[in-house]
Order: sequence, then C-alpha cells, then structure tokens
Amino acid sequence: MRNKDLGTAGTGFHDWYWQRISAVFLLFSIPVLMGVLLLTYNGNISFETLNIALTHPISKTLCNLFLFAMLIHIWTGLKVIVEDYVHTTAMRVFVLNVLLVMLAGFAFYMTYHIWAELAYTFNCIPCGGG
Amino acid sequence: MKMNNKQPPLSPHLPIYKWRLTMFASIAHRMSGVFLVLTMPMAFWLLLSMSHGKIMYAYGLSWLQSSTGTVLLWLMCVALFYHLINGIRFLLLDIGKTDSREAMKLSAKIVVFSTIIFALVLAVKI
Repeated sequence: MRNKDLGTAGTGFHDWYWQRISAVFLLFSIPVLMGVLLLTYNGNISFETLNIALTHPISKTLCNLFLFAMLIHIWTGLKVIVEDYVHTTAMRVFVLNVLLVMLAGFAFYMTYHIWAELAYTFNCIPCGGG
Repeated sequence: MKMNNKQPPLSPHLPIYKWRLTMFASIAHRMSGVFLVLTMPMAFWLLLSMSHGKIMYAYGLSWLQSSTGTVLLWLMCVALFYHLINGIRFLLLDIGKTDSREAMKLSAKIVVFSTIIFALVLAVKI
C-alpha cells in the first residue's frame, strides 16, 4: 500500500524515484566512462580511436543521456544532503536555487560541447576542431 | 527530551550515536558522493574535449599523467568504486533483499573491504 502522506514538498516519492532510475542508468554507463578514461591514461587509446568512439552520433546521444542522468542524480543527492544539514529554511532555499542554476548551466554548456563538434566538422564555427 | 516547537528535529544527529561500520558506510556514501559531484563532471568534460581535438588530447594526456592528475584519477576511481558498490547495496535494500540487520552488517563489511582491496590494487597498477 502506498503512503498517502506526501510530505512537506507535496510531491510524494518523485525525487526518490528519479534518484533510483538515474542510479540504475549510471550503474551501467559510469564504469564504461571510467574504463575509457583509465585506458586513455595508460596510453592504450589513441586520439583516432577516442575521436571515432566519442563523436559517432549514437555515442553523442548516449553521452547526452549520461549527462542528464548524472545531473539528475547529483541534484537529488545534493538536495537530500542540503535538506539534512542546512537547518534554516531561507538558507536552504537559497543554496538549492544556486545549485539548480549551476547544474542547469552545466547541462546547457555540456550539451553544446557534445554536439558542437558536428559544427566544427562542417566548418560552421570559425575556431575549428584543433 | 523537550521538543522545540519552532524548529522540528532534523535527521542526522551525528554526535549522539556510537560509531558502527554500517553508519560509517552510510556517511562514506555521502562523502564519496560529494567528492564525485566535484570531480565526475570535470572528468566527463576532459574526456569529451580530448576526443574533439588533437591539441586538447595531448594537453589532457600530459595533465592526466602528471602527479596531480594521477592522484586525482586514483581518488576518483576509489570514490566511484565505493559509491557504485554501496549504491548496489542500497538498491538491493530498496527491493527488500538485504533488509535484515545481519545482512546489512555483512554487506557493509564486504563493501568496505573490497573498496580497500580495489584502492590498493589500483595504486599498484596505475
């Protein structure tokens, strides 16, 4: 039976639910990312391999999904921590809003960073691919 | 205990509990989480930048192989390993597989000791 008391936020178990959904997605994607980073560190992945692996449209899409899952997980996790340790309501609202703006900004910037390489390839942006 | 009506009691009263391994596992999950919030976005950004251009690849690789980069990479891998397997432990708890007191104690031991072993192996291999 589901609990009818939705708590102070009035949104029931949404945060809890999204934290678990993103956790299951990250459980499979984060080891791949860390493996690629460690192999690159060891010199086992050359620039050509890394470029092909991460600029394919499918991997761009997966990178974007990973980005959103990571940011949802960061938001729900930090929210729980802030709600536990910041005891003044005004301060809590302020801190959570600052965090939300920072995470949203990072989401926009990284989405641009993931897809801008297409623009570099077709010479749409003057700075080029390097 | 007399309740203060203006401020309801909030959950983590850390100083009043005796330290136990399960409690340490829970606190360490939060601490590794905060550390990963600071480092994972940077790692993701670095890997993407390295895949986009030869110059950035060379810069990124030389930074990763410097002492700062190596130590940060090691710390991040250890924090990630811990957060990952303790996260699996919490997910198993959510679906009701390990909700007895003994199971939580045993799984906390498994998680902490396997993290120590992983950290040592990675420190040797990295």
